[in-house]
Amino acid sequence: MPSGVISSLRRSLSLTRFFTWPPQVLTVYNSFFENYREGLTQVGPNFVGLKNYATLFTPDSSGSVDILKYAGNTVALWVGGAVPQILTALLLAIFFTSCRLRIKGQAFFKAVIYLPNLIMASAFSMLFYTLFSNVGPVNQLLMQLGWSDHVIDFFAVKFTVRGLICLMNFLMWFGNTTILLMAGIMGIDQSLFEASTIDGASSLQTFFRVTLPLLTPILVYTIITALIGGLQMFDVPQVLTNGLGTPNRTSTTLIMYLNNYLGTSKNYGMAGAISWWSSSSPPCSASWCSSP
Amino acid sequence: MKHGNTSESRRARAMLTATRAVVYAILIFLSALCLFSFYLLIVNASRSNADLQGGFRFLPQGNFLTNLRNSWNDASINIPRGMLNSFVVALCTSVLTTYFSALTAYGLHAYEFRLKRAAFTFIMAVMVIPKQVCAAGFVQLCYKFHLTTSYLPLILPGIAAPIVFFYMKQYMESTLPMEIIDAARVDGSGEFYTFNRIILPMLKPALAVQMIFSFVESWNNYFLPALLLDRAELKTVPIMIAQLRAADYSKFDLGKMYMFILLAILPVLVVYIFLSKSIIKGVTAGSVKG
Amino acid sequence: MVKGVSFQCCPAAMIYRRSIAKDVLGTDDPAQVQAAVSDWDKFNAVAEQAAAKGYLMTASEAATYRVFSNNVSAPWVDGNNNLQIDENIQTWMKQAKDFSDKGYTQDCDIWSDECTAQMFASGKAMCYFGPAWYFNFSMGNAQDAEKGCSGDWAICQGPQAHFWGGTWLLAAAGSDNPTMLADVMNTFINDEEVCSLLVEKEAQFSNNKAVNAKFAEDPNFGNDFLGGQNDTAMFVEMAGNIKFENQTIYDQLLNEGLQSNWREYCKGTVSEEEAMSNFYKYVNEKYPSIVTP
Repeated sequence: MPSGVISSLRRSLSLTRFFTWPPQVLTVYNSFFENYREGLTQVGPNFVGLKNYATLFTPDSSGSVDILKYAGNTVALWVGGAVPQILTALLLAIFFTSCRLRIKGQAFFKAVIYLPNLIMASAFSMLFYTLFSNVGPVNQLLMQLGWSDHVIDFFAVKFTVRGLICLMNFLMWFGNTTILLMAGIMGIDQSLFEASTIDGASSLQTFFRVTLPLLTPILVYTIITALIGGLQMFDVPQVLTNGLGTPNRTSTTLIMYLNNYLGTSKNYGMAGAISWWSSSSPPCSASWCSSP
Repeated sequence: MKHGNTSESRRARAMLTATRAVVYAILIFLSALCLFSFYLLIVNASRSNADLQGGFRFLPQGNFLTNLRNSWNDASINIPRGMLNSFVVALCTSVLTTYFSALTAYGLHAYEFRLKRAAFTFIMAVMVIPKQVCAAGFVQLCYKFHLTTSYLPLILPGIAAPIVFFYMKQYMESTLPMEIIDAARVDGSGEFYTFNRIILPMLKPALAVQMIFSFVESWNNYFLPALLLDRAELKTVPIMIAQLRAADYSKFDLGKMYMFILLAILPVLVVYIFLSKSIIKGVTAGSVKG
Repeated sequence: MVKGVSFQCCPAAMIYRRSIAKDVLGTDDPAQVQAAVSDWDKFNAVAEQAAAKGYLMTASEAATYRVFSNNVSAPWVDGNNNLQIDENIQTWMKQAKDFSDKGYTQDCDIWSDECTAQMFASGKAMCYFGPAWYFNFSMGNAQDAEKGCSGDWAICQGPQAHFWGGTWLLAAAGSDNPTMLADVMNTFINDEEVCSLLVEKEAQFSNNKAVNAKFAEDPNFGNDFLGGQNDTAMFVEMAGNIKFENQTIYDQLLNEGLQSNWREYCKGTVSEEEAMSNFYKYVNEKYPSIVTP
């Protein structure tokens, strides 16, 4: 085996291990302990076995299990943002790289659709919050146009809050995804496209028979990273709802739930249990059914 | 085209024009959505604090230069220094990340070895853990090794970036035929030489893309730098913005805050425009014939 | 052993709009307005009158919260770590829902744009609650040169005396200059000249009784924002009525948590049980050791 590359491979892997392994082990270890702060006094770490996990899965007074509800929220928010995002990005990537369509002004469009990705998620959410607040311009506009006779509280309705979060995620990431897919398409050998045109294939056929199969690895990458990003969704709903997940905690994601425990109480016990469950449990499709 | 005026080709051209129109419409609509929030940011950065408290405006006002002067010269928040810090950290991170991820991906793509599947699965598993979870342990490690007085704890972990590695791996799967590598080996080039001189140039679109993304991510990174950097002169831009947000409520200048956010984004935008041109250049230089 | 001193005292008042009070009550004189709102039943009655004339009583249902929470007869957490909601707080909860349903107030956070928007001249809220620093620094909209209404405000005690905040000077253990620190702290609390400057230039309420008395008795001393009213005199009177009992380390967050979760019920997005359930979940997240029902 070529020793030079293998040794550098080993070096990268060991660095990965150094920076991520101890923290992960620490996290799982913490989940078996009762470990939190009360004001300035530290309680624990006392070994409590699976008590944290039991607390996680105890149903509340209305019978629903909180963590499953938040997992359901996370999935709902992810689907609403990622599906349009990937589909639109795929469409745009094809438009931009198509020789037949020859879209002008590509540099401008590409710069513009990437812009939302540059704005920090928290600043973007603050902007949307002020736009849609009760005294914000959207409400003012609706009243002026006569489409509404009273102030619409966008943050008290599950549909609008989730819609705004999905919209923001879509705007922030579809430019990024388009560029990724474009790079993927541009890496496909041009002679293949020429060959298919000579063979008389229509553009749809070329897309499904040539582009898509060769693009599959990159598409897989896009979907998986979108999935991971969705599972870890935090900044946007946190800032938009000020950490409350209103209305009625229907926009609280798993990481927001985790963050609640890492705040005042620095409850590493519960935090460990939540993070271990979120990153290792089967896809939250089961919890999708629990989403109210 | 020889068949210039047959009804068939006229229909085909009409369809093409129609498609183009629809495409342009979609592009303009999406661009408007994206530009809108950015435009609002510029408008707000040009208003004074009192004006901002009063409500919304859609046209820029006259306070742009005043806000710019105030933010640039602010005594407690040294934004020029912050931008320099952010730039250094982001540049080093993006270069290291892209190079080492490409190297690792090449290793797992081009070679067969016993623990290949295990290594790949391990790296993917690492990707799934939320960063906030590792943070506590990582910060403890850094304090133990006295790494908190420099940029190192922010730059070095960039070497191990599973997401970038994954992208490079997928990219190579779809665009890197083994024939090239075999041809280079037959020609007698060493492995490292093959990687640096032959493979890397072919990966230009992927490299450029990931450099931009990791630059932006590093630039906007607030969580870890806030936990790790204690020295004031090392603070990066997002930390300074957070300081502004948490500052004295009565002296809060909203116009300055929006200007800070604008200043925070501008360098990234410039880097992006600069690098995106090379994506196009890199494509024409990198395709494989035959 | 003295561990810390305050250099600023914060008795809080009911800050009302003179013009609205004149319209609703027929007078804007502090003593008469105080007589009209001297207890909660009277306060609620005035709210009804204000609403009849198209005004809001307060700009946020949480504006009166602090007045209730400062005057509780039992702490948030009892000796066995059980959560208990005091009667006074329950009165607030009823008032908040009532006011919200009848349109006497808005459902928003007291620091939100929606709340502060009512401070302009065009605003409809009759009163806010806060100490000297609130009307001097946090009512920027009211002080705005173009759209504000500086001078159209006045203060009175309101239904119950309360306080909000204060600033403490603390010396860190292990400081290598304890004598200088003691000197600095002494200057801030005992030096009459410094304390006078605090009152005159910063419009604060110092903790030095002698200085406060001096300004309280000065007939020419007044605050322009309050239409010339001598706020120091008012605060000296109110300070004596403040109760400071039943405070716990959990107060700040539990108060905030109750307000934000109860707001959802006031808005009508959740039922009362759901709002309380969410509040208990919040308590569990912040303070795992407290036992919730």
